[in-house]
Amino acid sequence: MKGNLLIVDDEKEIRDMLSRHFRLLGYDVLTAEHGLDALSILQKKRVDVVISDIIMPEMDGVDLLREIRKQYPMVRIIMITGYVTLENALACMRNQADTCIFKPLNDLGELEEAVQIAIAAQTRWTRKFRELKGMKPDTHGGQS
Amino acid sequence: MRVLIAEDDSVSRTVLEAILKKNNYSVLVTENGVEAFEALCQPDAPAIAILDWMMPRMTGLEVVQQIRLEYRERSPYIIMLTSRKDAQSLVQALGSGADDYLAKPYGPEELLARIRVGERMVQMQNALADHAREMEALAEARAKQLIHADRMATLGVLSASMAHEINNPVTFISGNTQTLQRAWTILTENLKNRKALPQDDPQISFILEETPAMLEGILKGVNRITQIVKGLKLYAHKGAGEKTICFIQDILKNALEFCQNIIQPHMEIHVDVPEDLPEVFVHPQQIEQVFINLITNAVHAMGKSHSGEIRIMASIRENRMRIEIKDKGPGIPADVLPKIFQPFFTTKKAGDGTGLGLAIIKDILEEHGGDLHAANAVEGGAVFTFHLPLNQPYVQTGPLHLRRKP
Repeated sequence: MKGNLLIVDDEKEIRDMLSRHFRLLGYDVLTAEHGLDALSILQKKRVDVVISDIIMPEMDGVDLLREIRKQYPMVRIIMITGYVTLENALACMRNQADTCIFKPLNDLGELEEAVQIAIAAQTRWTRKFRELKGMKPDTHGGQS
Repeated sequence: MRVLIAEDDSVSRTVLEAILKKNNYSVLVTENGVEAFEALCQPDAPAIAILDWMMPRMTGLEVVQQIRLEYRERSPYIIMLTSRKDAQSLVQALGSGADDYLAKPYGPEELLARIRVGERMVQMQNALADHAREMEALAEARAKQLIHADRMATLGVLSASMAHEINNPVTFISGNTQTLQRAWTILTENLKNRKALPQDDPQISFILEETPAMLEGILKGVNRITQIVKGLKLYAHKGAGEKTICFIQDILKNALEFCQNIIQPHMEIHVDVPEDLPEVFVHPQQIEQVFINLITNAVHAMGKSHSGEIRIMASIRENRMRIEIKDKGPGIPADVLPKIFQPFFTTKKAGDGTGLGLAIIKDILEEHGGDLHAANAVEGGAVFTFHLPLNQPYVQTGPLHLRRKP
């Protein structure tokens, strides 16, 4: 399996479209309608990359981004937005989103590439942790 | 000046005609009131009329009354001619609408003096009428500008919200089509590899052949909508940023760098901007956009022709910065010129231009307290001229071309 994606957008058609596209490419895809919805999914399921819209009800994309950075440092985030403003782009960058892609996504290739890079980065970290786990004695934390 | 005379007595008529002709007036002679009235009703009627009071069929007084009744705006200067010398007759004539009153017998000098008064009055009246017409035209033009400005403002607000509303549906049309394209390729490749593509059904063959083109068509449409939406957003925002004091040549330099990739190798760009021009107080990005747009238009206008030249000139005129961008293209057709700044008006092929570029930059310049004009150069090609207010009043110490030299 290529990786687990979580797509967050309040517009069903866009969720469905992105979900179909990445399932076609071989990813596992989950979807959420807004930030809170996404956080509850992240509690239960393994997610490698979140693709999130910015303007959403309940919890918007930037707040979701902040929460994820705090709670799930391993999860990568790609922001997509229809409100192409400097403020939005800066908010994404300051909160360490992987990248910010502007709708209407006339080249899905850009998003695909961003997902590949995110997954690759995540895979590298996972490998490092696996190597650490294999080391004796256990040096990576207080857990026994 | 032409003068109409109406006199039934042939001797008096001949004398009157002779005096006028001798003094270089062109004379229209009528012999009674009806003839005089008919002549005065013509569109090219003389501006001065000398009417005898007593005439058969229609008296001079009746002619005056009728003329004043029917032609309020374009009314001749009328001198009433009569042998009645009493004050009551004079009051009656003037009261009926005559401008002047001349009692017989009269000397030629007096007649000519009175005609000259008439000429003065006619000239004043004409000048007033011209002035009124000019004012009316001006008022109409201003009203049109106001309506235009109002429409622009509405369009700005509308386009900002519309652009965002359109973005989402465009996203899923575009995305789904791209996915479908991908899926279609996978499907047909797979069937081909299995040798499972039906070969014998012309309708299926048609679908296999045409589907990629249909998907491509949808994406082209989507791309075009995207371009329009982008243009609209730009139109609504015109880029944020602060006004700063800056040099026009710096802005132009950035714009030219930006345009590098569209300027063809055979095109020559002549920049004639004096080094010591004073500063302007502007939004630099917006003015950069103005330059980029005008340079791009000039490049497009010259198209693929073998020689191309764009001349960019800056100077100070009447305490304003004046910038001209001249190309060697075919110029602007006369029927296009009045519409050139209208939003959505474009001469480019559908999909190549949104028709918003010039509308946006004209707005930008007007918001800066400047203006933008389009014209054709005498030597061929189009000239776009814009003005920007200076940061400070400019005191010229000498001719620019002299001061530039060390």
